[in-house]
Amino acid sequence: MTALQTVDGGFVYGFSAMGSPCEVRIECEAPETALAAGEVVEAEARRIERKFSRYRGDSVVSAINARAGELHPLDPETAALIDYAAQCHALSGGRFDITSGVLRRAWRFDGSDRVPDAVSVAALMDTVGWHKVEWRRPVLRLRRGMEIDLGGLGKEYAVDAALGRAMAVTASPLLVNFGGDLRVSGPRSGGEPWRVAIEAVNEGGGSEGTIEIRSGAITTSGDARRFLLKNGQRFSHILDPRTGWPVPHPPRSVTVAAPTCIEAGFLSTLAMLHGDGAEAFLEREHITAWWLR
Amino acid sequence: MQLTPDATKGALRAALGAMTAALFLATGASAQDTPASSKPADINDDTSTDTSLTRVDSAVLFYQEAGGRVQATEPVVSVTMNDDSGNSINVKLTADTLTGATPNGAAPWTGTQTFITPVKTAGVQTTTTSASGNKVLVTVPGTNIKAAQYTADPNTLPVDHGFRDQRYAVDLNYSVAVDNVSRFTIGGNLSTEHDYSSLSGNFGVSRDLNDRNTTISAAVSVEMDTSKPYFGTPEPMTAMSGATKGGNRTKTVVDAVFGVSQVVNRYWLAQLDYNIDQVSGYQTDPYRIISVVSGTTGAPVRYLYESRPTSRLRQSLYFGNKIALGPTVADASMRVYHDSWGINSLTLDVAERVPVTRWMYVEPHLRYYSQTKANFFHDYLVSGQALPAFASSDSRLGKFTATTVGLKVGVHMGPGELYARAESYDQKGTSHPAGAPGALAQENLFSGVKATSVVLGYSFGFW
Amino acid sequence: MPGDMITRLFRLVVAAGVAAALSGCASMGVKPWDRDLLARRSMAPVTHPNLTGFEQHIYFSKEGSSGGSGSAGGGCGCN
Repeated sequence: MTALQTVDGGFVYGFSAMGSPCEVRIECEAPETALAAGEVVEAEARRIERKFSRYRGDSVVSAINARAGELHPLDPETAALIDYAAQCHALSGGRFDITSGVLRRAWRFDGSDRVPDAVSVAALMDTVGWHKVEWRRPVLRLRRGMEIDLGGLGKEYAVDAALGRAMAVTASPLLVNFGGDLRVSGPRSGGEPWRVAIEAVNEGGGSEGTIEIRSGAITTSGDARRFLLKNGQRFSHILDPRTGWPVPHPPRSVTVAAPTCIEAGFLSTLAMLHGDGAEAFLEREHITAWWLR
Repeated sequence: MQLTPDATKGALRAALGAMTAALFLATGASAQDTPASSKPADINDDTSTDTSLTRVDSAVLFYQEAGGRVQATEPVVSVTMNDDSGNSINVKLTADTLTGATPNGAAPWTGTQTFITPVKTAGVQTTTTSASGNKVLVTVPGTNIKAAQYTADPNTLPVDHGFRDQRYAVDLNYSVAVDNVSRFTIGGNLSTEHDYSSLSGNFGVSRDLNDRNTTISAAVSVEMDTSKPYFGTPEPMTAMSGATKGGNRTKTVVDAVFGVSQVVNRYWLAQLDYNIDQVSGYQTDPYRIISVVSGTTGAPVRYLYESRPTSRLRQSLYFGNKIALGPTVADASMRVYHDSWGINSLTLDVAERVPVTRWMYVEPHLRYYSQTKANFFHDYLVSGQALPAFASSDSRLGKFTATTVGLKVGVHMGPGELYARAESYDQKGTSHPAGAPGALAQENLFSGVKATSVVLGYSFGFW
Repeated sequence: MPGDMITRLFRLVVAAGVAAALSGCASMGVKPWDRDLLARRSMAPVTHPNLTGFEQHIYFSKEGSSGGSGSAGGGCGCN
């Protein structure tokens, strides 16, 4: 779907990328302006997806993973993102880890009761942990068997980057929303806030309420429909890379407001990774957040 | 959008905000900036590293001392090969040509002074015969020894015009990253001149601590030097003569440096080094003499070959700083030095790199140096007094202050940087020391130098 | 400057250096993301090794002191 639709006060440009519906809201008079902004956003989203998706064989991330064990010099943008991820790892005390993806080989969150045995999880843990990676910017070396996945930052980074590109095209108020991770350029025309609905995370769907924002970004992390249930115990899909096991009792969802999308995304993910301590973490760090249990 | 942390923000959010700002600065995708255009590189904000590239840095020094003294031309080529793991190999080649006149150590006098040096083979032109041809071949009376004589005009500093040398040196250094925070270096140096050769080896280790905010390092080196004077080594404190002298002499230098460098804050990098070395062996200048003068008239009575102790312990403490002040970078350092010969010195050095355009900067430089004299330094010796065991009139061992004023210019050109530096160096000492006997009181006994130097260089890297 | 003054200064600086080391470097420093300025090439301790080399060579051959930072000059018969 690629379309420019007229809505009250402006236009919506929609497309599909990074496995999610994406939209740009532009408050302006001229459809050409809206189209130009939308196209710039789409182009940036596709560029970043092509470059960083682990599902694409020709991406930088796939190349890094395919050459685990070798020294891999990175381009400046990738190096900056890897550096950012390394800092996130340090800031989070090891909870946020772009090498944790290999745990998916043991954990398949399909709503079934197939909880992996401790031995197979422990075996995978040899290849999990950012501290096992050699990183001397701009040169990266993964241990053999390790993989990185920028999925936890890529979409949010794309929102920030795409908004930046669009703001260079037009001064009109903008909202960029990639699958629920969104950021605005500022208030709407006339200083009005943007109204953002928080989607329900349970199977019934529907909206859990609305948030009004005039600046910055909003992201939501949740474990909707992705869990295992065994002997009445619910295993969330939020895996702790330090143990290889799901964190206990994370909230159903955490929505965070922050100046940029990549910050909001990191904070909402990190809150989930605190499991039953998520609320305490959010309050301790004075993070503007909404959560559902 | 604001990234400025406010007071209510948690520490995590503040840190995250700062690193996010850095991310978008690096990727050029900042929403508050216009999109990244391909700006040309700014020589004053160049944060590139030499990882996996080869760097060639070549330069030439032109050095000239006032009054027709030493002139030198010194080209160097340095090649550094870096791999992508932080290891590097450096090879540096130096050639050095020196010509001109050098003070022979005698004090000036109101009359013409005559000096004598040996020659290797009678009648054969030797390297000490200067182009000005002011040396004459003589037969030492009462012997069949052939020697060369030269003179110094009245009231001028006696100099030996035969000064000419060619030096070649090669330096090899290998630096190995042991892991993310540790490194060792191993290196060697070979340098040869007609009358001197030097061989040294060094080994160093360093380690980053405190999240790479602190680096500690230690290095040791051993140097072995051989002095091979053209006409042999004279016996210290004996009379200057035309007779050929003794054989080669050697000395060894064992040196250690211990250093700490510290990131003080976002703008300031500091370095503290302690350096100690022990020099053992022949340290006398085999060509240098000292006047023995009459205690009443000041007239030269005879000339003796100088003499220096065979042991010297040197210590210094260096404190260096690099400070980013707005767009400029200040380099300020200080060194204090003390040795067992009694020389104490203080060095202060300041340079300020100022961007002019995106492709050019200038860097004015000031240096102040002050030293006390060695305890065996004498402008002259007095006839009839007991001869000291050690004596030298070398101005380098005397008391003086020196100032350097310089300007460096760097220009981004092609794949690298073209740099040039011009400096003037001026030593000031005691021209008329108190107590000089007779007419010697009217002579300028300070033989320090005034020099100018110009360096031109180009450094570039390639993959 | 009188010699004993320099000797005293030397001792003072040694004492200050030791004190600074003891007070601990851990309290200083910056986080990796605040290294933007320190990462500049112009902030390296030695930006032009050849210039530093020439300079050390000249001072080594014209002054009574040597050493201090990095490797000392030397290797020539000029002193």
